[in-house]
Formats: sequence, C-alpha cells, structure tokens
Amino acid sequence: MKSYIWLQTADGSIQQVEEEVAMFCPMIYQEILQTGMGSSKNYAISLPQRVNPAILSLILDYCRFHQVPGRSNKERKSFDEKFIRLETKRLCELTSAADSLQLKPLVDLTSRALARMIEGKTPEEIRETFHLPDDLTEEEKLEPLRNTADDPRIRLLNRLYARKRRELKDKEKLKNVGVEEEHVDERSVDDLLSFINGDNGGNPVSDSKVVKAAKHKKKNRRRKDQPRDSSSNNVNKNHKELDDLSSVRCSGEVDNILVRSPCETSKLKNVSDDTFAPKAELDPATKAELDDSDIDDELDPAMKEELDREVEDFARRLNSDWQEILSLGQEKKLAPISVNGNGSLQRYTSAFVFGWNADNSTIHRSAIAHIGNGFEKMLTQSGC
Amino acid sequence: MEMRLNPGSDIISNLPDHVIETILVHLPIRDAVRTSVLSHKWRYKWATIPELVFDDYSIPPPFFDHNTILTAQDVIIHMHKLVNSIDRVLLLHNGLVHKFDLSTRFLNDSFIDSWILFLSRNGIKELTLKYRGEKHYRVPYSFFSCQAITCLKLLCCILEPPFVFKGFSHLKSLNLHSVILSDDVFETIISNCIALERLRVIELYGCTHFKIRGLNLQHLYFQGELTHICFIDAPRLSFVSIFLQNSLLEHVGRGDSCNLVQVLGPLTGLEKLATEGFFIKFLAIGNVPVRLPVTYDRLKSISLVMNFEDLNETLVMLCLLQSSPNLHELEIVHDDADFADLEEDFWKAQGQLDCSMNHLRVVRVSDIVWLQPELQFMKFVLANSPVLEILSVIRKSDIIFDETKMMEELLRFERASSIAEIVYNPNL
Repeated sequence: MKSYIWLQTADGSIQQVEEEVAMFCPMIYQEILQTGMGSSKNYAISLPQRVNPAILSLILDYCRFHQVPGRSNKERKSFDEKFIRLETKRLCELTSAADSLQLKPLVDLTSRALARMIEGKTPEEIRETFHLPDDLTEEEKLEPLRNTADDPRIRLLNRLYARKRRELKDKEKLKNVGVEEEHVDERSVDDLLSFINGDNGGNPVSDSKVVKAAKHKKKNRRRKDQPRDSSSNNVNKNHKELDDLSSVRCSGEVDNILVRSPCETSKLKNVSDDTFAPKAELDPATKAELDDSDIDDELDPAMKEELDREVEDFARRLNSDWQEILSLGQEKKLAPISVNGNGSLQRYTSAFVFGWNADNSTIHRSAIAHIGNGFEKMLTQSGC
Repeated sequence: MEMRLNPGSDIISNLPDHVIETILVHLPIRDAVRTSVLSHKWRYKWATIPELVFDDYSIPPPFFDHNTILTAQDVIIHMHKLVNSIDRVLLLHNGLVHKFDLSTRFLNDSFIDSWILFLSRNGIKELTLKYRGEKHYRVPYSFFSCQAITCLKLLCCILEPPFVFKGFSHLKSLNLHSVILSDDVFETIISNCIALERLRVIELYGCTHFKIRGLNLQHLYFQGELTHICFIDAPRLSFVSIFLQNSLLEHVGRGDSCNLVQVLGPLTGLEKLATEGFFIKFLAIGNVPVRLPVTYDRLKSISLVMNFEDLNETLVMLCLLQSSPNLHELEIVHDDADFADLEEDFWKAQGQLDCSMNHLRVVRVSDIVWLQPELQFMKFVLANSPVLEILSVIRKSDIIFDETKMMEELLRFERASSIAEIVYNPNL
C-alpha cells in the first residue's frame, strides 16, 4: 500500500507524490514530522514560493532516482551529469528551488554547473549568459579590483574601459567645463609622467593611445638600454621634446620647471598591474589650437595630436597654477629627480602636489592615488 | 554597448547569498574575484566567500611542464604576481576566512608570515600550506594562535612553537609532510590537541620518538623513520597504517616481550591494520608469542608487507591472525628480501594448531615468487577458513620459470570452504 504526500505549489496547484520520494527533501521531511501535514489533499504541504510546478517535477525526478539506496556511485554520477543539462534559466530556478527545499546535494550539483558556466569566460560572455546588466558606474570601474592584470583578456578590458571612459568624458566635457578641469588634471599628470618616463614595460595603467604609441616605438630601444646604462638618449629625447613644447607654448617659468628636472632612467614600474588610471579628455576647442610640428616624428598623426593636446593642457594648467605655487612660498628645489630601483620620483612629485593642492586638495590627491602604486608610495614619502 | 537590460531578466543575481557563495567557491579564485566587474550587484559578492585557494592552478606559473628551466627573473616575476594577487584578495576580502589553501613553490617567507597573521585574526579553520620551495618554511608565532583551526595540512614547514603554546583545541585533522619539529613539540601538539581524530605523518625530521596520545584519535597513518613508538591512551584508534622506512630498529618492548606486544598491544579498538616497509620487522623484535594477551575483536582487515622466508615475521603474522577472531580480509604482499631462516617443516607444525579463521572471506597474496613458504601459507589459509570466498593470487611480474606445477599444487589443496575460489592474476 503505497502512501502519498500532497504538495501544493505557490500557484495553487496540488499534486501527490510517493512518500519516500517527497521525504528525500529535508524541508518536506521536517514539515511532515513537525506539523503532520501532507497526508491528504486538503492538508497539502505548501511549498516555498521559489518552487513552481515545472521545477518541482524536476526536483522530484532527482529525488526519485537518488532515494533508491542500491545505486552505485557511478550510476548516480551519470544521472547527475545528464540531469543538469538544462538551459541556464532553468538551472538557476532549480538552484533556487532546491535551496528553499534544503536539498543540499542538488544545490551543490547545480552550483557546480553554474560555476562551470562562469569559469574562464569574459565578463561580457557571463553577462550574456545570465542577462546581467552592465551597470557599474564609471567610478566603480576605475577602482582596482583585479588580482592579476597580466591576463591579455584583462588588458583588453582595461583598454576598452579606458576608451569608454574617454568617450563618456568627451560627452561630459561638452556640457560641463568646470567639472572637466579636474579630470583633465588627473589625466595630464599621469600622462605626463608616462610620457616623460616613456615605456613602462607593458604597464596597462598608462593606457592612453598616446603613450601606447610612444611605447610601441620606443620599446625595443628601451629594452636594450634598460638594464645598466641609463637610457640617456631617451632621457635627452624626452627632455628635448618637453623643452620644445614648453618654449613654444608656455611661459618662461614653466619652462624652468621642465628644464630643471631632467628625468633619468625612468623606471616607473608598476609591479601591481591592476589599477586603472582615470583618463581625461581635452576640450575639443583646444584641439584646434595645436599644431604637431614639435613632437616626436615616430608617432602617427592621430597620436601626435593627442599628445599635443595632453601636453598643451598640462602646460596651460601649470601656467594657471603657477601663481599659487609662487604664493605658497615654497622654494622649488628642482633638484634632479632621483630614481631608485623601484622608481619613486620623489621630488618631482612634490612640485605637482603643491600646485594641485591649492585648488582642491582632495580631488587631486585621490586622482593621483589612482595612478599607481609607485605614485602612492611617493605621496606618502613626500608627506602628503 | 552599455545596454541596460530589464532587471527582471537577470536570472542569477537574486539567488540567496549562501547559494552564490557556493557557486563562487567552486570557481578558481581568479574567476571568483573577476565576477566583481559583472554588474553592480556582483561587485562584492566574491568578497565574502569563506574559502580562498591559491595554488599553481589559480595563478599559473610560467612553465608548462616540469622540465622547463626557469630563469631567476621568471621566478621573481611569478612571485610578484602571486604575492600581489594574494595581498589584494586578502585586503579586499570582507568577513571570515574559513579555508585557506596555499600551494606553491615560489614564495618568500615574509609574505606568508603576514598572511598567516591575517588569517589568525579572521577565524581560519582549515589551513593548507604546501611550500614546495627549496628550503623549509618556518611558521610564525601567529600561526600558533589560530585557535579555531580544525584541519591543518603542512608541507615542508618548520614547527617551533612558543613556550606558551597549548595546542589547538579544535584540531580534528592533522597532516604533516616533510615537517621539521622536535620530539617534544610533536608530543605537545599531539597530546594537547584533544579533539584530534585523524593524524597523517609523512617523513618528519628531527622526531624519532613518537608518543601518540589521543582520546579521540581514530586514524593514524605514518610513513618515515622512527626508533620508538608507543600509543598511550588511544582507545578509539581504529585505523593504523605504518610504513617504516628505516632498517636500524630497536627493541622497545619490556623485558623479553616483543615490540608487537608493546606497541600494538594497547590498541584493542583496532579495525584495520596495515604495515609496510620494515614495520613488521620492527614488530618482530623480541620474543613473539603464539597469540597476544589481548584479542582484537574489532579487527576486520589486515594488510602486511612481509618476507615469507623470515621466521620472526611469519610468527608475527600468525600471532596477529590468532588474535583477530573476526578478521574478514587479509592481504599479504611478499617482500623478496635475501634473508631466509624459515625451517622447511615450519608450516607442517602449524597444521596442528587450532586456528580457525571463522570470518575470513577475502585473502589476497601478492608479489609471490612461488616459494615453498608461500605455498604452504596458502595451504594453511585454505584449510582453516570455513567461509572463505576468494583467494586472490598475484605473482611478481618478472617470473620467467614455468609455474604450472605450482599452480596445480595450489589448486589441489584442501579447502575448508565450499565456496572458495582461487583467482590467479599473472599481471600485476
């Protein structure tokens, strides 16, 4: 005489199930023991909301198979493998339902299956599989989250994000000039450093096309020079470029700063590769003003233009800050930049930080903090 | 590009947190952390997972097979990457870390020290440290303050606890492999970890005297060298497997009695016993009795590696058989040593003994080379096992002589059990 248990799903429909099958679910088992329900149609056990009839029948199939004691592990495993070949949405519903019925082995099984769907995929692929919204705010995307960025996929993503950011900033720029200024600052510092320091050996932080192009061409040369001799030709080259630019566009004082701080072998290495550098876009209006005659001939025209914009903007910025710098009464000890093994450009930093602070210290500091570990270290060392 | 999909169509993010954690725990740590960029809801879902596993699979090393020669720079780069990853993950992690698994050959001690400190403050329960570098890793003092620890696995470490160390009171499972520690430290750890149930010890250095004490100890596996071993107060010990690798052995028994009596005597709760290497030789030192003063009522399975031509070892084997009335399964692997002192009529004399193995069902004899003592043993077993089902005979793989005569003889032996089958496997 087989006994049956009556179950009711959230939509109201009631079905009867063999007792031993239903009892395989801990939640149902508890219900029967504690409340005595389920023995007749009128007293059907109400199942949690997450269990709809279709999923219930799947779960009962699972229980029906596994509650038989005589099966071998091989048989069970084989059944499980076939059982989870479901469409993703089903699988998620099944996980949820199994969890509400406290059927832990099934939750484990489905979780593993879902994990397999996530493992090794790019975020885009995962979003597509599970219909996730791509709704991270820009700031969120900028924060360092990854634990290794050497993965080429991650680097690609970094570049895509950087591009997206630029596009966004572009749009914003057209609306709000005031806000833009700060962004411009951030970018310029980072860019200038990267530009001045040249190739960082594959650092995805300095992501701007400008620097990339510069890196590209200089890379080979860098490699040979890097280990022992200070890459003097590079240094001079950078130096020279800056000089040129500054003399053309900037005031004499600005010129001084740039002139008096030659950079030696730059090794602004970021061992931690996983920070994003916020990028700023230049005011499209300024684009028109630039000409590209003085920049490194190796760069292609598009790069040149951007590079120009960057430096021009930085120079402009510096110009306007110069008054503050002077008023702070700080003696600009523009001693040569000392670069030790891990690349902390200590004194170079101070000059900038003072200038920036006068305007809006928090913004600038946080901006700088985004730029990379080496820089952060510099900040703390210079006592900011 | 930045499509805002209908939030209702998101099928996974609304699963309960513990379910999401279950999913994330099944991912390698890297993939788990990367879910933080999927969407706003997923930003910190990974940060509460209670299990962190870092091994050469999570952060692949710069080589694909063990033959690649690594330059120092490769190693340094990889080390930086690994250290960075772990640092980041620990820093961004939010909540308790119950399980931490670190297995690598590329690490610098000082980094591991700081991670252990972090873990000791975050409720670590299961810790695995497999240091496969060139020297051993000395665990820091903060390691000994991980009071919640229940499961510990160490490879290539040095254990030197502070004076005040009083054991891990929740430790249930301890697995030490190539660990350097002194006799005293071992004893302190074992006797103070009162919840200890499983102990696996492989090749300890600096420790040759083993005093094993454990009211809850159930499972012991030992592989390595020892000069002295004794079990004090281990009433629940049911599984003992010892693989002795040193041949210089001492008599530890009191007076005349053999090591077997002294060492294994107190273990009346034994259910499975396995010996390998020189352990049976160790047990045989001293005066081996016909049967032990105690009987192993629960002993169901015995597995021995022994030399059938060695008198003392054979005596030990027989003693065990006589003391285990409920034995179900017996496995003997022949160790073909050069030593032979078993008299020809030894087994004949045994024929007169009343040794009925009333529950013995399965017997496996491996690596035989068709010696007389081996045949005689099998004859003995067949004649004394009324419920024997299978006698499985596996010969050593490099025999070249003709075995048919021996096999015929074997098949003609008298069988006490009507259902006994003799199964012969020529290939190991």
